[in-house]
Amino acid sequence: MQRHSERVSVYWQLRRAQAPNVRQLVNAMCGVPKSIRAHLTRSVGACLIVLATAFLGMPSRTALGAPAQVYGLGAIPSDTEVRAWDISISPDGDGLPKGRGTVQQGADIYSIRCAECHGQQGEGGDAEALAGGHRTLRSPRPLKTVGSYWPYSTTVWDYVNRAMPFDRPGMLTADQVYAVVAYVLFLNGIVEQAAELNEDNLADVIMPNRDSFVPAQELDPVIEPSRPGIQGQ
Amino acid sequence: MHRLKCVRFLSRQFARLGYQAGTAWRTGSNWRWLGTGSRRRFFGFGLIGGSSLLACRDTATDEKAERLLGSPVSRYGGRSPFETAGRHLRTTRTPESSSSRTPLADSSGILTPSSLHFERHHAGVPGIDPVEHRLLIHGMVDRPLVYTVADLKRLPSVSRACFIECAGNGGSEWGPRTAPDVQQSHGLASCSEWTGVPLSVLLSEAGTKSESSWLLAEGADACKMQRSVPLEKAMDDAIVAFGQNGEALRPEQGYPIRLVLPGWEGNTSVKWLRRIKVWDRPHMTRDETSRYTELLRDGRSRQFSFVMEVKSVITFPSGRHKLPGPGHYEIRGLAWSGRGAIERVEVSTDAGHTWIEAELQEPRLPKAFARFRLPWRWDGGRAVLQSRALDELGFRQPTVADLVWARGASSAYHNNGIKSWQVAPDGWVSNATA
Repeated sequence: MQRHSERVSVYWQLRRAQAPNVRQLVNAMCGVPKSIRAHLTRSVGACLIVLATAFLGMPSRTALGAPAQVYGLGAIPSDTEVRAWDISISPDGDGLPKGRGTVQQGADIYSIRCAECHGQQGEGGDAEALAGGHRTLRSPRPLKTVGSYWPYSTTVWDYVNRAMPFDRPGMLTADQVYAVVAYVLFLNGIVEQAAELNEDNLADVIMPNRDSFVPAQELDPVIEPSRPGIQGQ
Repeated sequence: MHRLKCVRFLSRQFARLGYQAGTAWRTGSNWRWLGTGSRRRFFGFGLIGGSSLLACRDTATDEKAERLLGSPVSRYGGRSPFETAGRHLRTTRTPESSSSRTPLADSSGILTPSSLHFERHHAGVPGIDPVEHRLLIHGMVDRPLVYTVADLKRLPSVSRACFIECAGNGGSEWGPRTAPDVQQSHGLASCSEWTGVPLSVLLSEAGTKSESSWLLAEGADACKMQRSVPLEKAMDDAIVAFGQNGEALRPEQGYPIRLVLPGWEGNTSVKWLRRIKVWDRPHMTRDETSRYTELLRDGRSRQFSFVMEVKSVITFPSGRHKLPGPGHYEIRGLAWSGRGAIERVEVSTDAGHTWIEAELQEPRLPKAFARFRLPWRWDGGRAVLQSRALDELGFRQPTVADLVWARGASSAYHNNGIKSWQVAPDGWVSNATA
């Protein structure tokens, strides 16, 4: 995090240093009379004034304290537009829409929309298995399913919502997605048969394999085969 | 008279060609068969082409003979009907969620023609009108922005050649039963020149907030394929590309715009890019948890293994080639590293007992294909050909056994192990392991 903000700040310093011609920038940014512009560009604190002028010229594009746009292209969407585009779901449940669905409701939808490819009990078929495979990950034949492998219940919700059913992605309502996820988690013994999932409790479901994922950057110094004795000569 | 003979001869050969191609396509439901069939046809075409030239040579030396005019100018060029290299299609029940592989053995230089660039789609190729398409940048930014494709083309652009390789490339090479040819074993990698706007420019225009450290990139395909990408990479060398090899992206490569993350696993170079959400942590999408993670032998999984490590493969002689007899050949191949430029490639013809440094052909660009070659006199005996690459950061291509030792045999992705081709005394080259 720290490294990134340093990076961004260095980037902006470079951007400013690279600005080829302060006068051009001023000309482009606002319609101040020429004589005043010439005076400004000659002044010692030109850079600061450019930023201030940009702020005055395009107030809608510039948040207070934020660097101005260099090129000023692109439109600023309304909050409503952004909300309509943004279907992402975070592991903490951020972004989950209101809705609810039970295991029982999920079973009905699953048998119509999912079972043909994934099997009646999630055992797999033309598409991958969704249930089973518990305690197989260390075996020679690991079975990676939602129950045995997927680390977050929110990922299941998000993926069903955006990509399933395969032939008609996007057709399920939020309630139906909660229901199908509840059923798939039930098939894996992760929630009870009487369970209902909604936007408040989905992210609280702890998946069995949640803590088994390690960023490669942390692993590689230990296990990267290219490194010991091979890096360099 | 000569001319007439030549024309007749050529038309007969073309008719034969058409017939062969037609029958091949009609019976082409079995793609594996088509793969071998096309190679056979390739040699067939070579013979036809050669004999046609011979037939015409008489005419060419007859100065009194008239000559036929060639084809007129055309709006969009196609290749010679004698050229038949094509992508190898994986047979799946749902061809919209499938892959096709680049015919590496038929390639020259370091660039892959756009029409032969490998494909991996999860929900088909969307047909997108570029005028209607938008890219939204939002999340932890000072100001969300919506760009049209026309807007993007007004911004400063860059061009660079870089490979894109699917993390699953070489997935056939973990066990004893490996793929029969280099197209099937290594064809999920291609190299193009990409042109577009540095993502850093767009992010700077939106103004990333200091607490942000990741972004989520989302495509406009039916399943809205998405991946989380560290902001550090986005600010480093990521491109929002609209150009490929001098023209617009092909639809199957993300038209009208795609993300290109040089050197990183192909899945992160999100095609049909529609949205970038700047955030302070990864979203843990399906394709960075359930997929594209490497299950290790201890049950843990390696996640966010973005870099495609140093790799090389011999493309000639390779599986399904046949050497006509002992004598001189040039061993050729491709090498690449997601960390930088290729420093050296070594070739062995005795299953890795001795290694000889191959010549690296210029240009040698970072995170792009590099071509190597080595003259070789085949004595007609059994030979096992291997190549191993070293990149400029000092990473050396491991053996598959090294990888299995380190990660187990179930890690599935990121197999950059050394590949063996066996040359039999009869000249046939196969995938038999050393």
